[in-house]
Amino acid sequence: MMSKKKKKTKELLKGSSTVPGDLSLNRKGRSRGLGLMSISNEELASHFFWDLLDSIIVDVASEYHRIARLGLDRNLEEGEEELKLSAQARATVSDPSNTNEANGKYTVDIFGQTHPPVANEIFECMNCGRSIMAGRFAPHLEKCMGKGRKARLKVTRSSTAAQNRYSRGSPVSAYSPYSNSSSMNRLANGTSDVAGEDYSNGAYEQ
Amino acid sequence: MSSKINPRINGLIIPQPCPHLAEFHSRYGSKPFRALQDCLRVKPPGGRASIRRDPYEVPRCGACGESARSCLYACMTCAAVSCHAMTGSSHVAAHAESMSPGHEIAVDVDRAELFCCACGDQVYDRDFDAAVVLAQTTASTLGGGSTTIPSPKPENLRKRRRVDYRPWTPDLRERVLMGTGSSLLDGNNSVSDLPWGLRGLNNLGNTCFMNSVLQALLHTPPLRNYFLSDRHNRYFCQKNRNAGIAGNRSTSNHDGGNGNKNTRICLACDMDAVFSSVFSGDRTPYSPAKFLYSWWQHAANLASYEQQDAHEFFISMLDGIHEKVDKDRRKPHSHGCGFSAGNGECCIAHRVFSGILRSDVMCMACGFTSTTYDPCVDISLELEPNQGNSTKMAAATSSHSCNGEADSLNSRQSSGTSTLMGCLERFTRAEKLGSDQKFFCQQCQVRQESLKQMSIRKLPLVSCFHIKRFEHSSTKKMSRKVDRYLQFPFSLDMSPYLSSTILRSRFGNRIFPLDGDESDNSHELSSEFELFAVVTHTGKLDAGHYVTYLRLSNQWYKCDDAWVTQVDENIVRASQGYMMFYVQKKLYYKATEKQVAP
Repeated sequence: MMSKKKKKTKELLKGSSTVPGDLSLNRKGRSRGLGLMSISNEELASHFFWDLLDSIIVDVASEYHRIARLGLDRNLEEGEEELKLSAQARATVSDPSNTNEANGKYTVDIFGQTHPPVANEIFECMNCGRSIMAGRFAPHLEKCMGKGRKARLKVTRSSTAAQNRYSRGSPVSAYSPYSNSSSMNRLANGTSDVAGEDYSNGAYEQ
Repeated sequence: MSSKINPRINGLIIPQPCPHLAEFHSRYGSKPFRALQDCLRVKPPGGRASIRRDPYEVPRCGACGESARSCLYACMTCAAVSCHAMTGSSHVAAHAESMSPGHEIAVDVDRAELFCCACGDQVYDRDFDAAVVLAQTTASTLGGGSTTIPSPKPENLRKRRRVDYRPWTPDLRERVLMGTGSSLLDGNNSVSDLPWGLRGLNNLGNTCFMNSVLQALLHTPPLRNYFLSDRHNRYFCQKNRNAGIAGNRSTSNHDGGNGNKNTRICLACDMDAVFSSVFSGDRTPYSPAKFLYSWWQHAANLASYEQQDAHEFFISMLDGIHEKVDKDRRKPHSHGCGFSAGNGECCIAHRVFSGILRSDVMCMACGFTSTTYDPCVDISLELEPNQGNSTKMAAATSSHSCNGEADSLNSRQSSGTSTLMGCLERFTRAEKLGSDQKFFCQQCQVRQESLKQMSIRKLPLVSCFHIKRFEHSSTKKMSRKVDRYLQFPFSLDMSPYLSSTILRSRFGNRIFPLDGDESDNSHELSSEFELFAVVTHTGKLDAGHYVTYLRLSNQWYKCDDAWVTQVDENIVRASQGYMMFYVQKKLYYKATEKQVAP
C-alpha cells in the first residue's frame, strides 16, 4: 500500500510546483478546530487517525519532493527498461519455434572450425615429460603431481609448503567475510566426457 | 526543468533558489540560519531533524491554535508559527501576505524543510541543509569523538593519483625501434574482421571452470592492455627470478628442493604466455596446460581435476598474481603491501579488480557510528529470497532510506524477477544486527543493538559480481544449487551503492559536501559500468558446465571451451549468470573500438 502511494506522490511531485500540503486526500466531514468536549470517542479516534495519515503522507511527499528536485531519481526508469528487455529475451529464447543456437550441438565455430569432443592436441607434460592428449591432461597431471583427492592424505613436503604459503597472510582472507568462505560457496563443474575414464589411458608413452 | 546546468555537489543538483529565497539570503548575509541552529532538535539515532525553540515546545498555529496539523511552519523572519491547511485557507500564506515583503520563507517544524509561501513550494538551500546536517552529526556523537562526518580517512586513501591524459605518437627513434623489434601478426585472412583475441580454449579434462574465467580475464580491457603492452614480460621476469634464486642459494641453502619450485612459478608470467598465444592471430583452440600446472602449484589445496568452482579459481589466481608480484617488488616489507591499506596499487590484479567496501555499524541507542574499510576484489551477492517472504523491509527504519527502497519496490513489482540491482540494494541496505550479536558501543560503553550498513567506498576499474548460487543447509546436511534466474543489466550505474550516496541518504539527502574522498566529484563519471563478460553455469551442483559470453565491439560471443560462436544478445540476457564482469564505461568504449587500418 505504501509503495503505491509513494509512487503516486512521486509522480505528482514531478509536476512543476506542487505543494506538499496540497497532496492530501480530499475528505469531507472533517471539521477543523474540533471542540474536544463535544465529540464522541469515535470521532476523536478518527480525527487522530486522519492527522497521523496526513502527517505520513506529507513526510513521504516532502522526501520525494527533495529527491526529485535534487535530481536523485534519474535512473529509476532505466532499470525498468532493462527488466523489459530481459523478459523479452527470455520469452524469445524459450520459444521453441525459434531455432536458436542456444543449446544445439555445434557443427562449426565462427572460424569455420570443428572440434572433437575430447581435445586431441598432443603435448608434453611439464611435470613428467610424457606426451599427453590435451583432453586428458588434467586427470593425468593430478596423478602425476600426486595431487587431488586420492593423494590428499599422502601429504608430501611440497604440498604442505604450498598450503602454508597459501593460508598465510594472503589478502584474500582479509575480505572473505564478503566473498564468503569459499568452501561453503562453490559450484563445481562436472564430469562431462572424460571423468570416468582411467587417466593412464590418456598418457602415451613416447 | 530548466536546461541550464545547475551546480552539483556530491551528485546532487543544486536547484536555483526562488527569488524569495535569494532575497532572504541576501538580506541575512553569510549566515542566514544562525538563529535556527539552536532550535534544531534531532532524535538519535540518525533521526529526522525538527525545529523546536525548547525541547518540549508544542508548536501551535498562531492563527487558529491548532497543534495537530500535519504541516506547521515557522516564519524564518519572525518565528511566527502558522499552519498550512490541506484544503482551503492557509494561515502560513496569509501570514506571509500580511507581513509582506520579507516573510515568505518559512520552515516546516517537523521535517526541517524550507517552504516558500509565495511560490507555494518546498525549496532547497545548501546553507540550511548544512546546518541540519551539523545538528544531526552532533546529535549522534553527543559532542564526543565525531566519527560519522567527517569520516576518518585511512592514510593511503588520500593519495589519489590522477594523471592527465596525454596523447602519444612515436618519434622517429621509437618508430625505428618498433619497426625492427616487431613483426606483423598473421591476421590477413578471411576471419580477420573478427575481434582479436577470440580463440577457443581446450578443455583439459573438466577445466571449463578455468577456461570460462580465463576467457573473461583475457578480455578484461585494463588487464589485456597491461599484458599486451608488455608490462609483464615473462622472459625478463624469468631472468630476474633465476638471478634471484641463484643469489638466494648462495646465501641460504635450507630453502632448497620444493621451495625452489615454488619461487619459480609466476602466474603473471603464465598469464603473459596465454595472452601472447591468444592474441597471436592463431584461431585453433589453445591448451592452457602450463597455466593449469602453475596454478596447481600455487594453490595446492585446489589441485584436483574435479569439483572446481570458477569463482574460487578466480580468487585464487588473482591472489597468485598478487602474491608473486608483491614479493618481487617489496621484498623488504612484504607485509605492508599497499593492498592491505586498500589502495590497490600493488599489482595488476588488484589495480584492476580491487575496490574498497565501507561498513558502518551504528549504535541504536546513541547513534555512535563506527566505520571500517575493507578491500575486495569482487562482490559476492546473495540471490534475493523467494517472492512472498520479502522479510527484511523492517531494516529500513530510518525515514530517509526510502530512496533505495523505492528502487527495490519498482524492481520487485515486475513479476518477481530477481535482479542484480535488487541484490546490490540488499547488499547496501541497513540491516539490524540480531540481539545475539550486539555490538560494543564505544560511546555507551556497553553492548547495544545496532544497525549495520555496507557501501562501496571505492569502485574498482572492473567490478566482478559473484552470485551465490550454492546453498548449504546445515540442518538437512545437504547442498544444492539455486537455479533461479537473475536479471542483470548491460549498463549498470553503481552510484546508488556508493558510500557517498548511502551517507547522503542517511542524512536525508541534504545538500552538503561530504568530507574527503567520499565527496569525489568524479564519481558520477566512474560509477557507470558496462557489462563485458558473463560466466554462466548450467547443470547441477556436481555435474555442470561453465560457459562464458563475451561482448566485443558490441557483439556477443559464446566461448564454450574450444567452441567460439556468435550469439544473439537475447541468449545472454536470458542466461543464468554466475559471475558478471563489468568495466568502467570510460574504459569500455575506448577498449572495444574497432581498430582502424593504418
